Amino acid sequence: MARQSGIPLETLENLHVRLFINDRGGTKTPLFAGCYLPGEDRLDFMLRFSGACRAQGIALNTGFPPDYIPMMIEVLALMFRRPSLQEGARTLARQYFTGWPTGFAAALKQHDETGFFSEIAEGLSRTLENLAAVPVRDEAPGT
Amino acid sequence: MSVSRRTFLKGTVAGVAGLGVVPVFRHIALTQDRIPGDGPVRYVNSSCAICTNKCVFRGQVVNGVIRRLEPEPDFPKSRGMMCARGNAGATTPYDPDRLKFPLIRTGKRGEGKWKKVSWDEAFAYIAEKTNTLVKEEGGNRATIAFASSEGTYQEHYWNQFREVFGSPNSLRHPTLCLSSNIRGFQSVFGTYPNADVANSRYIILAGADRAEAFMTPDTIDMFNKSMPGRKLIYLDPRFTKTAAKADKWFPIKPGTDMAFALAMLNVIIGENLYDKAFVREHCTGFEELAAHVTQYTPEWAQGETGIEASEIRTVAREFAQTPGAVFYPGRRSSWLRDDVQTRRAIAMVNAVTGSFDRPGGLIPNISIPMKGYFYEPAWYSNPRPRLEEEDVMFLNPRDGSWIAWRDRAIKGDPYRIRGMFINKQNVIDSVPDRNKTFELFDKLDLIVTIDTMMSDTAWYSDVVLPESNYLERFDPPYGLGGIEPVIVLRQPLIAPMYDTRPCFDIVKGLAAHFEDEDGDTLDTYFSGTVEEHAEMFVSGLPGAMEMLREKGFYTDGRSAVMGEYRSGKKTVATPSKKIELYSEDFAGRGLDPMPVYRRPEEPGKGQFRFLVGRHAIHTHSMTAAFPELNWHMPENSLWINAAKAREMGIRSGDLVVAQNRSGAEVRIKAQVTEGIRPDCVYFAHGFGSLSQGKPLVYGKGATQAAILESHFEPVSGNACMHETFVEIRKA
Repeated sequence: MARQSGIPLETLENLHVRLFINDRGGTKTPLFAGCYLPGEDRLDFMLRFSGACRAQGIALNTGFPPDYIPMMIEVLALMFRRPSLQEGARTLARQYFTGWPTGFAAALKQHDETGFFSEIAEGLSRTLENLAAVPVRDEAPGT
Repeated sequence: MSVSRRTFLKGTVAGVAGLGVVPVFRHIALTQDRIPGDGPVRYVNSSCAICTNKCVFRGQVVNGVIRRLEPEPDFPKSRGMMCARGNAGATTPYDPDRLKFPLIRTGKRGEGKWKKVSWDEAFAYIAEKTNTLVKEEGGNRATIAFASSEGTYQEHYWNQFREVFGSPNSLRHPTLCLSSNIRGFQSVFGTYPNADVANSRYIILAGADRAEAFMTPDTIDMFNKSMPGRKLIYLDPRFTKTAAKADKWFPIKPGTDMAFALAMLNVIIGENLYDKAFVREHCTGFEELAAHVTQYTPEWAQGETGIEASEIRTVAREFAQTPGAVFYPGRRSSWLRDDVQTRRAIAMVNAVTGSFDRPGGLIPNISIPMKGYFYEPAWYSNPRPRLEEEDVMFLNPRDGSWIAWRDRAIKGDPYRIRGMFINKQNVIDSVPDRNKTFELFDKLDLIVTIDTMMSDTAWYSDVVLPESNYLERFDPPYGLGGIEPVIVLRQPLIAPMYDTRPCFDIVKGLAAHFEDEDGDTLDTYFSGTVEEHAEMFVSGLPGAMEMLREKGFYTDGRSAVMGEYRSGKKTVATPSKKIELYSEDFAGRGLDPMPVYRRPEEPGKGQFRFLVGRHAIHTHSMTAAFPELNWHMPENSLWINAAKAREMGIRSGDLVVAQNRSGAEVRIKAQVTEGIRPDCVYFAHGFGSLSQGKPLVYGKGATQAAILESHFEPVSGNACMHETFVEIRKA
């Protein structure tokens, strides 16, 4: 995809470090959902999300904070792939996958000069919005 | 350059992978266990790393996430207390700006351009560069210097790596801290003792701001009211929190503490208030001291210190006549070039009043003996001495003398330093005269830094190696000496995150890429695991490891037994085996055998003496970027006396420039206050970061390292923190 877009891989690698790992002025777009939830206690968000995963029988990689976005997406993807977990996945999507995706996408749009990562984040944000909008089985629409 | 929607749709799968998400699940796994609701609270006891006290806490872990840290109530040193700084540490593993992966610089130093690499790539890069430099220096391994800081409990592995690598150039923090204090007290008592604060009824503090520069248990004991009638006398040019809590605060003229102590000796000896039996039995050189201090009258001292003679006389009399009085040895950095002698004078006030080895007085530290960490030494032909060997009288070969060493390194005298390996010491922000540190860095071909955060030093390095956070690490047992000695343990609350490693794994991995003269790789000198070393350290203490695992500390209930020196059961470790009021050792080295007061240089017209000092919110440059603490104190400011500020038209909040005699400048907001002498200015440490990897402190306030001039005292090698004069002007 980078080649198709004419972005040198080295540029993409440098950008990846700057956007997501360590950057001057601080990492502008950290890959942690809790960083895009102003007013919420990030520790509490991580703790609750981790608990919700445990309740579904999903163990998170301890090598990352529980609000590591790629890991959170994997949780959702896994649950949607398993029919027995799909209802739980919708609940999870509504509880833990709202708010931050738009903040994350907006931050990337501001700081990713290639558009490579921000396009992905925007797509992700739209997908998660759609998922969160689907009512869960026992909920009346609009509740 | 941008990505079109069409390209995006084509590359969705690859794109998702770009964020780290791939169709196969890398980060999660299904388990058989479903744990509904919040999981149980798991408690893990461990040892704090946010300041020098290393308090033991109980960490609450819920669902694999650290919820909070709370005090371990049974830990004897912190008495059930956990300070705000320690509490704030709970979020550090989750800091989005922490160091996560090994990084190699791709841009210019300080430009902030990095390449993420594997550990093997980083090690190979470092080894290739280092070996080339050593070869270019004719095989001189001393061309690579090593700096490190205490507190990690794994520093001995770092020293081991330096030693088997073959460099004598080791630099630690004590000569930026209290080595002059230690040397001064050791020369009198043969040890650097603690004060039995809990039982002391009269305490004099010379600049030891215990209400802000916490020391456990001293801070807790000092301000509790369980000792009726206790009096606190506090000398400090600033009105600190300790001044606010003291019975008397004397805004002493900086650099004249020795005059105050000598005048106390004059009164105590002259009025026959000294402890005659103790002096006769345990001290040597009293006659010489008595004759020596006749010149130092309180009236004379008034002219030097700015403290009225009658006040000095009163303090001296009260001190000598109150059982359990102590002139607190302090734990603060050195002031002026005569610092060792100043500390000796303070020690002697304690000595002549018998405030040693008795309740409320100075008590020699004891510790719980652990087994040592042994390893095979590496032998090299033609080893070179450390750079500043000739510059300091009592040079500790492991600590070195930062200022003296840096001066030599800049000059390449007697040989060039080509590289530095730095382990958790923020050299740029902690060694006085930052410009000189940059001058040194500019001469180095390789700078490697291990840290957990992007410190200024990491920011200017060529390779940055990420260490696991203290809440993720297992560190071996560490002895804390004192009146009530303990051993503490650090154990992980959570697993290490990202691609970080503990120091032992880092140095062992690095060692595998180097060889000794016989062609053996240096990792052969490292054996076992940290856990195995931990077991070995306490193997002579039955039940210790179990208690350490459960409680985070070990004590066998021992405490210093008072009276053992007085009874002759133990002997003072000075050359004469007596408490030395006159030092033959010093005389033989050409030093004053007794403290001789020399008036410190006065600030010139328009100049102020720059003061350093701690404050309650932050620990040096470590915590200013902790969000919880930064909220309380987001920036530092320059204290300037209200009358002086009025004269100069400066108001609180005005931006001012402070310039020292070397021409170095900082810009900082003014804080106009009555709480500082007119001839001094002060600002707290921890701000003015150059590292843009620390956004909360980047460009906020100023750092002391930028304005402190480069001076050291030649007895212990300590940097002189109060020898800086600055001019102030509005920006």
